[in-house]
This record gives sequence, C-alpha cells and structure tokens, in this order.
Amino acid sequence: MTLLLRLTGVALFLLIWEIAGRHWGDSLLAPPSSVAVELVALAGDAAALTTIWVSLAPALVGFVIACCIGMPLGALMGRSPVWNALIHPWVSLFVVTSVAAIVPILILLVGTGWWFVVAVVVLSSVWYVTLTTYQSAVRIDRRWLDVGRSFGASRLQAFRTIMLPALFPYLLAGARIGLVHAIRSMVLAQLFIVSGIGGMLNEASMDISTARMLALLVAIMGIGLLANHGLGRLADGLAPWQTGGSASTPP
Amino acid sequence: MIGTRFIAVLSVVAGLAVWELIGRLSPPVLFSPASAAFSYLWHQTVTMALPVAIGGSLATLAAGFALSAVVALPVGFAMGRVYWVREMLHPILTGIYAIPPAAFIPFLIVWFGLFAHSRIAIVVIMCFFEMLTITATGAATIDRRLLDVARSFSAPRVRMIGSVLIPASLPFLSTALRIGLVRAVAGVITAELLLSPANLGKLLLDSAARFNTAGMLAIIATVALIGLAVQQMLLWVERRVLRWERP
Repeated sequence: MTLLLRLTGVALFLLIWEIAGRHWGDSLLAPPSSVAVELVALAGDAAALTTIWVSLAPALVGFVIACCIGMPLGALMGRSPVWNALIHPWVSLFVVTSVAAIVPILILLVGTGWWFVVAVVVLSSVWYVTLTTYQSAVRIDRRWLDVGRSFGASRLQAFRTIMLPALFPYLLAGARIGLVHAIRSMVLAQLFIVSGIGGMLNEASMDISTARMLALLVAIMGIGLLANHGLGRLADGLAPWQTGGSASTPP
Repeated sequence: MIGTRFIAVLSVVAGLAVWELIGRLSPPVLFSPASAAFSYLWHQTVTMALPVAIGGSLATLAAGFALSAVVALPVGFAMGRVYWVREMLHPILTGIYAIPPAAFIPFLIVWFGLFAHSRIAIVVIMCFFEMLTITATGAATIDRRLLDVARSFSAPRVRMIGSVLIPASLPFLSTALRIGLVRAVAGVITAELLLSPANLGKLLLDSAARFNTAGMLAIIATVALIGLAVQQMLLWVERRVLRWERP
C-alpha cells in the first residue's frame, strides 16, 4: 500500500512535469522525456563524468577536515562547561553566517583553485558537525560515567569504553548533516568560480533548451541521495545498538 | 552561571582583540583590523548607504520568507497528519531536498531573470524544504494521547483544533520558522552576490573590487549579526509564547 502510494506520487509528479514541460516548451521547462535523453547522453559523456568526479574530490576532502575538527571540538564543548563558554558564542555566530558572504574574501585569501572549494566546504560544514556532536555529548547520561568511575576507570578508559560508544551514532548523524552541507557548499563555491559542476551548470544555462541543466540537477540529486544513503547504511552497520540512524534527518 | 557568562563575554572580547592584532600585522590587501571594519561601518552608516542596503536586503528576506512559510507550513502539516499525502509526497521531496539549493540558481535565472523576482525565488528555494521537513516531522509526532483525551471528552472539532492541536504544534512550528529564517538570510546574501549585485551583496562586491578588506569584513560581520539577530528575536518570541515548554 505504501509502495503503491509512493509510486503513484512519483508518477503523478512526472506526469504533471511532462504536461507542463510540453506546454511551456524546452526553453523554459524541458519535460522529463527530453531530460531523460540528456541524462543518458550525460552518462555516456566521459569528459563530463570526469569533471563531476574531479569536483567531488575537494568536497570530500573538506568534509573529512570538517569532521576531524568538528567532532573533537563538539565533544570537548559537551563535556567541559568552560570550553563551551569560550567556544559556543563563536560557533553559534558562524553557523548562522552564510558561507556565501565569506566567498569574496576567501577568493582574495586563497585564490580560486582547488583549495578554495575545500575552504568553503570546511567553513560551511564544520559548525554543523560541531553542534551535533556537542548536543549529543551534553546528553550523555551522567550515571554511565559515574559507574565507570566507581569501578576505577581511568579517564582514557572512560572515554574509550563509555563516551565513544554513546557518542558514536550521533557522530554519524553529525557527519551526515555535515555531508549534506558539504555538497551544498561545493556547488555554491563552484558556481562562484565557474568550475566543476558549477561550471557545467553555468554552461548548460547558456543553452536554449533547459534539458541539459535539468539533467545535471537530476545527476546532482543522485549524488546527494547516494552520499546520504551510504552514510546511513554505514551508521546501521557500525552501530547496530542504535537503530533509526538511517531515517532522513533534516539538518 | 555568572562564571560561564563571564567567560563567554571574555571570549568575544578576546576574539575581537585577535582580529585586531592579525589585521594590524597582515598587509591590508589580505586582512584588516576590527577597528578599520568599524570605521567603514560608521562611514557607510553616516552616508546612509548601509541602512538603505540593509533595508533592501530585509525586504527581499521578508517577501521570500513569507511566501515560503505560507506554503510550507500547511503542506508540511498535511504531510505529517494525513497518511496518503505523506506517502505520495515523500519520495519527491526527498529527491528535491537532496539537490543543493544553489544548483537551482541557473534555472531560476531562466525563469525570473537577474533582479528582484529572482532574488525572492532563491530565498524561497533556500528555506522552503527546511521548513517543510521540520513541520512534517513535528506534525507526525504530535502526542496521540493528547488528541485521545480531547476525543474522550467529546470535544467539538473547533475546540479540538483550537485548544489541543494548535498548542501542540506551536513548538515545532516555531522551530521550523526559526531555522527557515536563518536559511533565508543565507539565501538573500547568496542571491545578492550571484545575481546582479544588490544591497548588501553590492556593498560586499564593491569592497572586493577595491581590495578593501576592511569593508568586506565589515559586511560579513553585518550579515552574521543579522542572522544572529533574527534567530535570537524568534527565540525570544518563542520563550514568551511557549511558556509551558521550558521551565
């Protein structure tokens, strides 16, 4: 029943899109039939695939850097009120700051090369990773840590055997939110410097037909879904004691 | 409590001092001290350029955010409460949500051009799906027992909506509005930079064109403060209205 409704929803959406597309024509809204043709062409275009792959690399590097900074920082903030008071004002300031605003000065500071995209990705995703980790670290049950202390666990032991397993599913949740923002800001950064996927989008927007542009949007959607789903699977596999990690969590 | 607040203030002051120090030590083409940024802000305020730009940006923000909220909240509510609506829309929205909002910009330019309409459209795209998901999740998790109690006492439909459903929905609705508004601020500045430069985005790009890092940092700080201000404002309203939620 659920599956039937979902398929009906998708079919209706495609049907409305097709009708609207035929009505307005390719130049305003290409119907799914012509987008599908473009998508097949895109899949067979080795140069385009290489461009997509090459532009994903800085997003992944930036994402890993953001995790390496954000997770320890969030855990530290969650367990130490003093560090929290020191760092929290800055994190909450930067998390509401649009990374687009920082782009012009970043161009001056690091140029428009590969590292520019990495910098934008790090600066936009690190705060989400930090805050998610922080919120879960704050909520670790005191009693668990107390039990550890009663049995004479050292600080390192307490961290390794209590904190980490308790934090783990949340670290992955934070990583997922971070990854969503990493992909978003990658596209944003590339739109600014007109390279990679952003450059392809820009080029496609010069076409008279919108088919190629919409095909690119579908391709980006596929990448986003795949990345999100992959991390969800990883979460379920690595932390089976916490289920529901793969539910779609809004950032 | 006073201790941590004191540390937080100290941290902000220290941050400004570090900014000032780095700015004084580095060449002005790369980075400027906080004092230079403040004097830029002061100058732009006296000449009225900054207030006008902020006003223009806020107008775009308000239009896009209102349009988005008017559609997102009811649809999200329907998705959360009605089974077939949720299941039919779910796959489509998951798909669209996976597309970075910025990727829509070339497409929106085709439809709406480079000026005010397009800017508003970008703001709508940036905050719509966030608000929709939060509202749908919230509406789906309204405590069944609350509704059951009302039904047991055979409350009329109007009463049920007015005194159970709406109060139970206010917490997640305000979360949706708050997060949507922060996203909308990001949308405004993105639109003003990537389309034809306007308002705050224009001030930022003008500074960039002159290698005026003080101006750029000042505008970034202004954007950050606007984001923080709208969020705190909504949090404040939330605390006033939702007295029963938190002690």
